Amino acid sequence: MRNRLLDLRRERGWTQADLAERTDVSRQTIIAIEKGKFDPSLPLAFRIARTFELRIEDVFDDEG
Amino acid sequence: MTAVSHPDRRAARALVPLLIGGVAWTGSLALPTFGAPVWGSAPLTWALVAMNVAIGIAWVVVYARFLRAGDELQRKVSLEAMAFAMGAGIIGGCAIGAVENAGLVELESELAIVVAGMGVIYALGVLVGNLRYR
Repeated sequence: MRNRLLDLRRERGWTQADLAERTDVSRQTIIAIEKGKFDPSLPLAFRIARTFELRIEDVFDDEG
Repeated sequence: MTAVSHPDRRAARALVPLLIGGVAWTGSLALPTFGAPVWGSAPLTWALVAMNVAIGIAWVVVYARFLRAGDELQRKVSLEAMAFAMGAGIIGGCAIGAVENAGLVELESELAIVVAGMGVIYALGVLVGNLRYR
């Protein structure tokens, strides 16, 4: 599953630790999602999308 | 925002009682194992074994809390490490039992070897899992 985490995070000037704190996960989880090594659960994907104030399909793309 | 996120701190805090529990359980197991021949008192040995079991149960509870303190990726890493450790324990334990029953080797403490092996495999599994998801 592809995602736009890295771009969205950089647009907002957030560090990986910032995003980890805002979504209540470890920094390692953010790194793994950004690199496409780990697909988050649906609740976490929704939480991430809400953090960016976007819809889930604007952050994650299952055609990757 | 800080360089270390709240979930990272929470997981690190949960690790401390887990390590203390591991040391306490191992130490409480060593007492009746190595002490029984020295003092030769059956009631004392029973009491120490009961204490070891109680500490072991507490350690399992602490481990469950440690898992709950982590996020979903940390739990996935732990689950995969547990799968490797359990697989190695079953396969290794059966293999050791088979060669021992066949009289090919004579081991005094095969259970301790299996448990220690599972611990090492679990630790390696967590290490490899953490490296894999970096």
